[in-house]
Amino acid sequence: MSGAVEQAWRFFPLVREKCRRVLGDSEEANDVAQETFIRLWKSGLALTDVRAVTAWLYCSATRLSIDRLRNRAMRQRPVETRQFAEDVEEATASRQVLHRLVEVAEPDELAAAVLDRLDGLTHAEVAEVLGVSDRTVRRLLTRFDARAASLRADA
Amino acid sequence: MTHPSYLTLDRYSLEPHSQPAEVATHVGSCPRCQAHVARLAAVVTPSTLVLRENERAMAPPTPTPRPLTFALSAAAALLLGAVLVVALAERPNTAETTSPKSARPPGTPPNSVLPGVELWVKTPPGEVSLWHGQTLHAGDAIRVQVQPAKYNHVVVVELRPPHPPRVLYEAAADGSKSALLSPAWAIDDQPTGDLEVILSVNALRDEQLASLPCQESAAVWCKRFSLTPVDGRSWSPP
Repeated sequence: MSGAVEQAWRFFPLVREKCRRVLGDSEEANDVAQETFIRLWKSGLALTDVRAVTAWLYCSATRLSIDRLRNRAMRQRPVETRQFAEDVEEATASRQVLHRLVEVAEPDELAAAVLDRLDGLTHAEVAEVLGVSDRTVRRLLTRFDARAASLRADA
Repeated sequence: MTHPSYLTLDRYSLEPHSQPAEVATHVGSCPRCQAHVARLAAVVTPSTLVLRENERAMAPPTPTPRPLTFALSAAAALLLGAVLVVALAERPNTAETTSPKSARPPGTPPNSVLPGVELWVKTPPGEVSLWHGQTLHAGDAIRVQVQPAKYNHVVVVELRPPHPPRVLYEAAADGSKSALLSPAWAIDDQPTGDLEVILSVNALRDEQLASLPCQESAAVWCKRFSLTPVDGRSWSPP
């Protein structure tokens, strides 16, 4: 195995864990993590720049996981509610809200919500990952929260 | 308790020194964050796949999923490896030509992996975790995992002034893969000391060992762990 491939491998666990937090399913998380990884490989990103690579991976894995959630919703597959030992109640609740909003919210809103609510990123970190300003992050989260409130009101 | 974000923990796991000291302090005292960091190191990778059978007692903790999940995970890992190798072969330019050369440390050959060392701690009755500076107790055991990269020899030395340095382990290293050194050292009640792990291109000469602590150079890389716990305990070979 080449050094470059092995160097790439060290990022795989964090991608898999990140996808698992969003999807709540280890097997699907593995699938999405591999897809993310292949994209990383094709991106030509310098693997030695850990800060840039992790930001890139968080952005790509978030968007691919959201796509997966949308596909799951289209197939009307039952929402996974499996809880992992490390999940706190709040994270599980956030994931359930995400799963319910996945068909109606804008992709950027969902991405910001995933990073903020499930991954616990600060607004500055979300801004870094998505390549937007802090103000845009706050706007996206406000819109997401409005949709969630509307969903609760309709329920 | 306010936890660091997962992004921060992930970056800390990859490059501990890139994060503020508060992150290490938090991880050292927070079981949840400690478990996350350990989980990142525990997932099956090419490195952990090469661990020998008799090393499993002190191997990094691996998830214990259902058999089907494990089979799928293993298959997925193999598939990913194959895909990456194929991708490598199919790329018009290899990573060394597409990656900015400035991202490579000076003197590092193309495609080389950076060297690294991790300490694993096994706490009775058998919980294994990465060492993040947490207090060690009598009965704990520590084990060293090295990523030799371009280096060919590994030496583990006990530094316990005023005593002379004592070599605990010395062997040739295979730079292409990470390895968990086979001896484990038990914590005892002896006076405190440090542990230094030295990677070198050539075997160290006696005079180099006598002049420790190690001086880094192009041919020598070293990492020192201050295992001095607050309760005055230290470690020693079994």
